[in-house]
Amino acid sequence: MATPRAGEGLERGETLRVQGLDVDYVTEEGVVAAVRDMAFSLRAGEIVGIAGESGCGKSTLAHAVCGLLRPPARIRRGRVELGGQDLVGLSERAMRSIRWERIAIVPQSAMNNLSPVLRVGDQIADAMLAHRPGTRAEAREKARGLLQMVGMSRRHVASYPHELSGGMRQRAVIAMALALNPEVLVLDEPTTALDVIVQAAILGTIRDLRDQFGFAVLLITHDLPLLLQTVDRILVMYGGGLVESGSADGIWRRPRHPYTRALLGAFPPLTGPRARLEAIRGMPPNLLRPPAGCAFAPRCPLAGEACRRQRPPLAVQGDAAAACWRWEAGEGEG
Amino acid sequence: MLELVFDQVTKTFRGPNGTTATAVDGVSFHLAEGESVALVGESGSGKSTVARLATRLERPTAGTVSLEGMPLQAVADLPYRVQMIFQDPFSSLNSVHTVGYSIQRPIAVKERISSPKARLKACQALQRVGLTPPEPFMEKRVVQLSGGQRQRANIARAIALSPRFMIADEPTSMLDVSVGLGILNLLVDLRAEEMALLFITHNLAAARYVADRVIVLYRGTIVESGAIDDVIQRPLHPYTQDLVAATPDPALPFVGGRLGDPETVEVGWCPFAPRCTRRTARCETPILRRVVESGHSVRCTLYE
Repeated sequence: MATPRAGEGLERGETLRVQGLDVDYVTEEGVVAAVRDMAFSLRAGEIVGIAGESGCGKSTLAHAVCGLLRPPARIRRGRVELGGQDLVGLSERAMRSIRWERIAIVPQSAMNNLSPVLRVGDQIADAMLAHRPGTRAEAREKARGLLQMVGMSRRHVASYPHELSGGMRQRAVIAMALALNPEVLVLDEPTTALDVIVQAAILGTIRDLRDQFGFAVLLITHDLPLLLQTVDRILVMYGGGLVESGSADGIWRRPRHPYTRALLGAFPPLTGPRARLEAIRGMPPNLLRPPAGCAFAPRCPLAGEACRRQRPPLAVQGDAAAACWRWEAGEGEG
Repeated sequence: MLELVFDQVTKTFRGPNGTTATAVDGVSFHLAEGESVALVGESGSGKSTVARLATRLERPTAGTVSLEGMPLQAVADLPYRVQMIFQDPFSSLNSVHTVGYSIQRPIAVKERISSPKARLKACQALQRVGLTPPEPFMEKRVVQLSGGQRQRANIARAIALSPRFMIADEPTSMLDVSVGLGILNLLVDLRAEEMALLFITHNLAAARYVADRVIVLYRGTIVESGAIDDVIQRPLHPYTQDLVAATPDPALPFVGGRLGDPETVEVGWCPFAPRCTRRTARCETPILRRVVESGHSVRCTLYE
């Protein structure tokens, strides 16, 4: 389903490619460097997770990718290519024919933003009818199928949101996002407010649907252990930039960036030795005045002079990459 | 032995038009001095109601909560002996007052001491929770603090009265991972000072980090309890088994959770029966808690 349109420079199977993306928030106090030099790509059928703590730029990136940034946010530079077509700078009108049809987002706490006065099925039907011609009866029938696809009952088309649990409402908004068969599905903290059993069920459903339909998924969450278990590839963000990327397995076995290691070490394990864990000291950087060198340097146990002076480039090694001057020095202490 | 004891405690809330909802149903457990127990369950399992019953913010509909053999209703100085940390650090300190006032005022009232002396003790409490140096924090209002700092201030307020029992209701669920870990470490350290802790959480891994024993609550009833590593390594109740399987652990492969939200619970049946893959007709009359081996008990007809 991911047919590259212009196709220039796209690698085989690549559906979304972000290059050199900078996003600012222009505030009265100055310019907040929310995302800096972000680059990654997504292949058809791939689930890529974005991990990082609050304020690292995860949600800003998700909105930028879907053309949903509004002032005071603005894209300073960079490209967001979907099937080879750059989405940056497209008119809202042009974007409307792409969003939902080709790239769909389930924003954070979307399950709480369903209209309380409309039946779930009608809300899904409205979304479809806004983009595709058809009758309401057909759209509603399609909605029944979509709800069933995400593990709900067909009769839930007639339910109002308040009649459904949080997990069911979240399934309904995922069904809505998949209604037009997009190439890319962006999920921003889709299970954060849900219980773990419901979370596991929803992620299981997303993986099954990905296998069935072949769409790519960008899954944003602060829950790194969850990503390690459920996605193919992970991007770790810190202070608005990409600090590490690699296969989930690679990041679990051999995290390179000291921030990735510190973040991994902040989640108590369910099994294994019960040792005391150390929280990351200090505070995330103030992106109004981002540090000159590596954004993590002020909190990093390995940081040296070079780290404070100059921002490290992303050093690529096979399918893994880390932006750190000294990661090899830290490996022995892993 | 100083203990906080729940004995067959039930709490039913009345809704409009004569509807009722039983949040806690025949719950019995004890928290001994210096012990650390985790109460784990999903949303709606009754965790917070247990916390509120333990601090007398709610009165039981049936059964008794007692402290050192005395019903909670009769304990005159309860706030000095049992304290609570709430889930939402953003709304649990009065934003009109300075942090210092919120902490020192209860000390002054309890110990009938002058403000300067109470102030000194409040500073010590702030120091204890890692808000150092304490003086500038004393003068701040909560809106000037980050989420992690607010939760530390809440803990300072709670420990300033030197309670023997601390009820922590999801104290890290609204905080970033690393900030939350700092709070968990603080709870572990406070607990080493012989303060008993009832740690309420939906996160089994966090429970294991803080507590020695776990009580698993499902729809208001205790379905399983035991030493935390026993329960995680050998969960007996089908609900606990699902919970352990669904908790992210990168060391293990992903097991997709099972579908099915609880809808209706037949009166009298095991509350997990509607979601249980191993239900039988016998689940109609659920058994009482059964001790399977020392300290590990379960409430399920599979273990009759």
